[in-house]
Amino acid sequence: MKTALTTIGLAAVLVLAVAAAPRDHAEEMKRAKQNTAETYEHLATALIEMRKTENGLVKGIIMHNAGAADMALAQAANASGGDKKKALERAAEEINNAASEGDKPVQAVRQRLSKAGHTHHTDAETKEDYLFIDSKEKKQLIDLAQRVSKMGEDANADEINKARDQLREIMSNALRDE
Amino acid sequence: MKKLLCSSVCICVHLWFHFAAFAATPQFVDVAKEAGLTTIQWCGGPERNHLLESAGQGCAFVDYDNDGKLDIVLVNGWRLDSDPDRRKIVEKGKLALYHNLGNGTFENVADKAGIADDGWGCGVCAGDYDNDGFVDLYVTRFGPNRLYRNRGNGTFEQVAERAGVAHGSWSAGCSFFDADKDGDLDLYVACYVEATMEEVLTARRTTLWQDKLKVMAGPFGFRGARDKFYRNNGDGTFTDATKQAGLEDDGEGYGLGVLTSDLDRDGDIDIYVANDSNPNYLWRNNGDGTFTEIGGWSGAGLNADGKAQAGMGVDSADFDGDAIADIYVTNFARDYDTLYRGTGELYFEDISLALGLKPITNMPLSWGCSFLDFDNDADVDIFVASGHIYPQVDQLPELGETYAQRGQLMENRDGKPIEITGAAGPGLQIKRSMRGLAVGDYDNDGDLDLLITAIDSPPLLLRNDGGNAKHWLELRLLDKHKRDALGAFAKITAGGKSQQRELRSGSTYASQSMLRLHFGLGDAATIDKLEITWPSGAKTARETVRSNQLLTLREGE
Repeated sequence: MKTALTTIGLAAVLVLAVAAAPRDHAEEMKRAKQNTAETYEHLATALIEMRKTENGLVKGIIMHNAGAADMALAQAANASGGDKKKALERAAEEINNAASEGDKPVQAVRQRLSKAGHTHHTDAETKEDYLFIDSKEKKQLIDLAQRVSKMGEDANADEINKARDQLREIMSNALRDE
Repeated sequence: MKKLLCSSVCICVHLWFHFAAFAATPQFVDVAKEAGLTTIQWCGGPERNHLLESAGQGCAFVDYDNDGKLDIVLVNGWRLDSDPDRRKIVEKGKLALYHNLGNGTFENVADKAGIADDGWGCGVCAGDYDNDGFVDLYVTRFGPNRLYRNRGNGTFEQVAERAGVAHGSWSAGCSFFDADKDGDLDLYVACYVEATMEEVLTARRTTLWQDKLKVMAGPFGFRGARDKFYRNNGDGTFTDATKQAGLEDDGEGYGLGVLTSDLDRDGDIDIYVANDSNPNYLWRNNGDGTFTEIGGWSGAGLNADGKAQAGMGVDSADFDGDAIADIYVTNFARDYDTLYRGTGELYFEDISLALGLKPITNMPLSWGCSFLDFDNDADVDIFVASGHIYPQVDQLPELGETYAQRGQLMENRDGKPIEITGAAGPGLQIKRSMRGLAVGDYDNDGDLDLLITAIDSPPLLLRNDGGNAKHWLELRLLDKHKRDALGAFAKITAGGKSQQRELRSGSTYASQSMLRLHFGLGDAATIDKLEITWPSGAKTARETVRSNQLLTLREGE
């Protein structure tokens, strides 16, 4: 008798479970669908915010590099001899950093975020590696960096100030909102 | 009839000139098999799922026993299977040391010499770090590197840990040089990517090549391994002085090829590192034991468009005869090799496009490279070893790329590199997935032979036949310690022309060329003037030196 009751009880539970399953499953599916969309929504918001943050961060980095270069050029204009040469080299290095949207530690971080693969040469004008500096501006900055580094101890203030003007012009174009 | 006769004469004259030119070109013949160089240099599994399986191994021409004949070192890796879940190690290749028997053959004496290491090796460079007159070897590996101290009795002792240079990262190129002019050799090691063997064995191909083929990932996406600089303490040990010397690799560049050279001839040695996929480094020696990285604005870090390329191998020489060092860097497929013309004071300009290097070098994926005067005509030519890293490219012929490739020989014609591979003998028509390259005169006949390593293959030993039709001079330069005087400069004047060479460790890709200086002299049977500038700054001068000899000069004698 006890066994029969137990069997009936188990069967009843099973019947109830089977009857309830489709409803629960459908609800679960609905909830999961909602959850998925909501989670993706949160993720999208976070990704968009992260991209904005990265933009702001990189812009800040470039402005810092350009500012440091400008300051070094200003020092060079007022310095003489070896101090002038050192200041010009410092400026060249900072201009070079601006061209690469950051110094070497920043570049080391960025290369981990790059799409896997090797670098290949392309003749096209491209911005794919950078957020603000396109390949034309990069080339202008690198040429400017080399010119500044070559100025040497005999550079006069006019020459240095012209380099400052050129740096400001390139940076202004590069950082302009598009 | 007259017209026909005239045409026939013209054709005959044309053919005569053609064949005369062809016949005059030295011929490279692969003699590796008959020379007994049978070691297969393994580098992973057939699919090459991980970057480690792309890098291959280097080689060296060194005279380890000072018998006047160049011996051969072949670095080796491991053979993996194709198990898609987790590859297994099928075989651990051993480092080979081939003793030159002097009759055109070699004997592998690695076991006897105590050098038959079975770690996954990458590159090798040579230098007598303990000043005992016998050349020592540094072997870079995936994992702790090896320093083999030459005991001088035909055997070596592995002392990397004791000497403090057993660096654990994946290393590639290396070079011994006296960074601080204290009379002993310091060491620079280029490191590539941070990775573990577990990652290698379980790697999947996840990158799309040309939007068509799944190939191995990297180097972008991986963390770069930081290069190392070790200062020699003078007592058989080294100190990691990377930070103190200002050589911190903050950019975590994917370092492969290393050149140490006094590029601005200011009396101290500078460092150039070919970085894969990011800017190359030019470390200027400040003269006080410290360095400043100036690649960006020197013009030697990027190409003419201001872009980073995928640097692999590097060499330097005065290619255009203006007495200023130029730099050659090999790069990835679908990108040209770069010839940086030195303009003085460590400034360089990329003149590759103007010289026509793009059509020659754009499609091959190039590794080892060397300036060499293969035809003894008194200028330096260029040889490049090439081979793709993705075997999958063979599945799509329309890409125009192949895994196995020919090397390229470019003759210097008035400062312009002209490819003459097709005319320079059967050895240069062989296709392999080449990596390392060492240049040396292994048969002591006055012309330069080529030693080339290739993936999962025995090496190529390309004997130069006919390169010695013109005059030559080889110099062995020994400093006060009777060691090869790394950093010494030799300048010669012969036949109204001046040339210069520098004795170096490292360069090319993960390989070591012979520690002798070779000059082609053209038709000049005598060297009017020979001047050596030793690393100490001392000079040795000789006048009216006869050609066609191996001349050993010792500092102070």
